[in-house]
Amino acid sequence: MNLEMMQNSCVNFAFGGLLTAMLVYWSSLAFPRISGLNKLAALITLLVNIALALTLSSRWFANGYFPLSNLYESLLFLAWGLTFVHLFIESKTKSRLIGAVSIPVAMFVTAFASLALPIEMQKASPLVPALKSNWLMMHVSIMMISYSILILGSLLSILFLIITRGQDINLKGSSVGTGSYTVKSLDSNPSFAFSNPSGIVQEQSNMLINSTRMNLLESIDNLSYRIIGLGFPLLTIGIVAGAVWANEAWGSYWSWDPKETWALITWLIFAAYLHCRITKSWQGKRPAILASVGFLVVWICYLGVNFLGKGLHSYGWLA
Amino acid sequence: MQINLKFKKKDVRWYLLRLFSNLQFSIILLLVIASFSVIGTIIEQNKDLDFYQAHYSVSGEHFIILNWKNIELFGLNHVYTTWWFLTLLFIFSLSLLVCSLSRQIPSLQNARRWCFYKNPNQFKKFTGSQEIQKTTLHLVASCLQKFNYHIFQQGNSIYCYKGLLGRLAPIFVHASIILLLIGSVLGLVSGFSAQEMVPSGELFRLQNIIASGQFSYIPQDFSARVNNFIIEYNQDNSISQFFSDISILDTEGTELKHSTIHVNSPLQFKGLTIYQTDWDIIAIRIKINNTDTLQIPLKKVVLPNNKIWVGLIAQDQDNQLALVLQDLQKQATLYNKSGEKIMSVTIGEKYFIDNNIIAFLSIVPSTGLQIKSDPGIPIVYTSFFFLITSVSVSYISYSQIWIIEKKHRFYIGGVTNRAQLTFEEELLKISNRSSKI
Repeated sequence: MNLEMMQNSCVNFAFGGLLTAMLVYWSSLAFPRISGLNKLAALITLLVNIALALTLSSRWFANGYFPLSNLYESLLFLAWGLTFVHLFIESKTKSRLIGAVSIPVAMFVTAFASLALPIEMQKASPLVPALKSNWLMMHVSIMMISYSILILGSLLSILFLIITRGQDINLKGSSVGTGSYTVKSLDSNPSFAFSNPSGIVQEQSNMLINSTRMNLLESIDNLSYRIIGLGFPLLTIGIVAGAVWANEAWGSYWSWDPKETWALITWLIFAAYLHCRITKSWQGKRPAILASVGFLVVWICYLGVNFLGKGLHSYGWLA
Repeated sequence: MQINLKFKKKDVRWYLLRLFSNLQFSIILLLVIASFSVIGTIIEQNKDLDFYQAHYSVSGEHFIILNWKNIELFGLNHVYTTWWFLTLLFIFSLSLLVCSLSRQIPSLQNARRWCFYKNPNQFKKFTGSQEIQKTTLHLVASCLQKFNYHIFQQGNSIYCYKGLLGRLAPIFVHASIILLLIGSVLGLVSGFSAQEMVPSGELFRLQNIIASGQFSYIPQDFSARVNNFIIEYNQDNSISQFFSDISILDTEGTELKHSTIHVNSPLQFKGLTIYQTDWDIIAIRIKINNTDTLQIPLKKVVLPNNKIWVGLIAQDQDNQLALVLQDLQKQATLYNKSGEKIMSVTIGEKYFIDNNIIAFLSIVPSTGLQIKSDPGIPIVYTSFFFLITSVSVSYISYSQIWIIEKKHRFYIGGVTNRAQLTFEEELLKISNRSSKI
């Protein structure tokens, strides 16, 4: 009973913390001069992350199996994954944007888990026979982490589309690997290295840097590409782990079950996205549009399929 | 005329070859496969014709185009095995193969050729290229080494690269997907799968084959016996696990292998795998007034929330008892002719009912087994291994940097194929460090 109360207050704290962190992140974007806002938000996110981890591990401890057996636990795990991936990428890239886009999603997920789900669905129930395997930990946790990463990466693409709305854009950051592109800047003043008088040539001690460094848009685009590029291998590993498990439990490594199929669709969409990045004719907004479709598809794969209530993957939902 | 025709054939082949190696074609192909896959998750697959006639009627308001006739016509009731879906998958693997051979491998050979730059103007095309005034090539090279670059020098010119694996890996990704498809086709043509419902204590052979390929071999030189089937229940009466105790016997009846299987732990025997998939209750054994043992057949009735098994103990017209079982635990309920509950009984006990002594001896369950052979599994698992490895390695960004010295000025610039943002910072760091003399 005590444990349950602790879990409840942890989840409530997570929700409140995410709400606060979201506001702080947004104000840090709005008032970039106020220093420390970003650090404060990151600290709150870290605390939320720890609170969620505590909730999940206490459930693991109390029930004796990895806490990913029903929707409630999986939503909490997703929120944990989102905050974890966000903190990880933020520490690597020092970008404030990630928090501003990822925290709202994590908040909605937590809110949905603790407010919208009926109490009976929040309770842990014994594992069904098919889930009693060590593959549960392997397959589900990797899938959830890859969903979190892909959600974050495609959110950045959506942000990119929102910012560039109505503009024609030409980007660097393709993987062609043969030279790069210059920016079509709005004042139609193509900037070239060394020769451009209007370009800001920084002089640092004895070195010159030309002005064609990446701008905000290009860095959002490239960040989104790199994050999706990280989520894609994880999605592959997750699907493969699922296939090996299915071969143990259901007698076939692929059975075109709706969830499997949607995972494949997600995989195909992001594979298309990654290939988009290496062709010149699909530069600019098209990859971002694909990634935004991918965002939708990840959610269908994660939640939508289970609302259909069909197929082999319908665990932990209303009977 | 004939020569003309030959040329045309060759043209078509060239056209197809170029199309298949075209990247935009592959992207569109990926998206097309993805969108056709959606169909199979919306329309229920592999149901009887009645089902589609009931749910997708021709006269229905909502599904005018999506009626059962069209579903039949386009094979939307089994999307993933229709000829057009398989053709798509075939084109997909062909495109993978052609792309790997005609694009990836040649581009790799280009990558092996190191090229050195001579002219500062060549650095204009790089984004974030830099110019350092006071440094030495030696210093820059040692700095590059710290960032794990492989360095080649030619006079006043340096070329260096790192992360070549990231350039190699996509080829292996494509190769392992091709291997995966080969493995699954092999499984499809030479594997089989069978389903058997076997009452506890009975023998079975491979009879009810549900899927097999053209080159499948279904072994008949053995039989198997289900020694026992039990269900382990949780405290809240939900099912914890199913267990089937199985013996594999040769033609003479000697035991070759003995094992207890459950879900997630199948039995392996000479390329065959036996899975626990289903269960049922077929009868209950009783004894009335110490006569011979009677086996009362039970019938499964599926209710909205659960299923029950019902049997009839009838000694004559007036003396009828209905017996209802809810699960494989040791409890049953008796009802009289008018449907009133008489009592609950425990299996294994004797009861005095209507002047008779009825002993409820045991329940006879049956276990649903799936027997599968898939010779493609080793290939598929190998491809899984290579796929996971190569797809992860593909994350590495392949970076190249060029440096030249001209008139005591050092020009530094480079490209990378994935991590532009990080690479720019790295380039800046390298210039910063090497400009500190």
